[in-house]
Amino acid sequence: MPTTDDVMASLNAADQAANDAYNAAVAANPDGDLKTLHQARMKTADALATAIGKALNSDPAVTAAQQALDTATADINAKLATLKNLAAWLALLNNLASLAADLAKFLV
Amino acid sequence: MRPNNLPAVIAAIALSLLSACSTASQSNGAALAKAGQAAAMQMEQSATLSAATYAALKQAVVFDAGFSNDTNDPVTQDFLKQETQIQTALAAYGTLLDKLANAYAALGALASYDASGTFSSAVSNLCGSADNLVSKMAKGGPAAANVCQPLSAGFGQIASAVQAQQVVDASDQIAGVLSTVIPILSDKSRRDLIVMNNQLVQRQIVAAANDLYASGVFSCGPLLTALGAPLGLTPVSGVDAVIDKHPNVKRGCLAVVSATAADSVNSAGAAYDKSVEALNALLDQHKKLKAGQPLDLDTINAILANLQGLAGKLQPPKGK
Repeated sequence: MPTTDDVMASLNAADQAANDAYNAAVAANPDGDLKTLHQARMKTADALATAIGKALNSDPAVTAAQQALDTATADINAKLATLKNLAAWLALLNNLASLAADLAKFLV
Repeated sequence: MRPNNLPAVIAAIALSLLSACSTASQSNGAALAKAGQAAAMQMEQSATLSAATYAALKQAVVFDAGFSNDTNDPVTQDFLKQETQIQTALAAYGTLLDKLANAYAALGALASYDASGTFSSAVSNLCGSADNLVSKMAKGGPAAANVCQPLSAGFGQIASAVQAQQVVDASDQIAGVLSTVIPILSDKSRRDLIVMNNQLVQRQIVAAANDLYASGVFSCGPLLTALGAPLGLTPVSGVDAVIDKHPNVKRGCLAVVSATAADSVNSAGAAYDKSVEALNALLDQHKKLKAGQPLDLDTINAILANLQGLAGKLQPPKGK
């Protein structure tokens, strides 16, 4: 499971790549139809700005959500060799999925 | 020496030592205040996004949308809205640096003459801005307010000794605020978020310039002038018409534009890191002042020079 830093780094790299692609397209064809390219570029910029804003403003909540998720992940990893009961697995995985969804709300 | 003169001699020696210590504290305080004020002002220019930068961002984004025939794109509107909200959150850092510069100016006044009232007001504002930064960037973090207290009047003491002690106490209060905010600003996740946002803003601003250069609005003449200078060469008249006929030259110009743009984006991270380095260097000097050790302001001056260089690479160029 990626950390908040990982998610942010991925979003930043995506925006950098989108920007580079847009600039290269403009350099090659400055009078071409750039609308769709511009929209794609702004989507990555907006996703990054939205995630930065949420991470900055909701810092404790993001941290708490991430810590809960990481704890649940570690719990599952620790029980991998010992857990036999399907119902117990299901409870752990449901918890993990729920926490992942909570964290995702902060970042997307 | 007659024994009955001994107390007077001891008193004179003590007074002389006290006076020397007082002078050292005051001159150290004045020197640190000058360096601190310069550093805080430069940090504010280099490491934070000013209102002018946000105005440039908005212009660039709107221009870019128009350039791409995409003026009503709701995502672009949302991007600008998000950036406005981020600007509000990050303004706390700029305000802190502004109040830090004011507090150093007041420390300088305190070291030069009795300006304890001015300092108390300035340091109170500094603590307020530090607490605001904590509430905006690190909810539930440590409060700075308790380190900012009125300076002791030191009744019954020699005036120069009172002033010297006030300088040490004032320096200690600024150090207390620095100790509160440095861990917040140094936190890697928070640092990465702030730098990412600075880079995102820089990318948008330079993209508009890139659009315009690619469209032939800007001349490559100044760049070619710089390239020819070592050999005393200057571009011919109407050089851009010549460039249009030679794709290799145009590609070279575009490569420099792209590299300059990348340098501008990457400078955002270096400027932030240098700024935190400057805060740490200032904190070290406050500790030396308190311990009565000689100050080393060369480190701060070197960081300051570095910050000035980085400010020139950011868009729009700062500090000019």
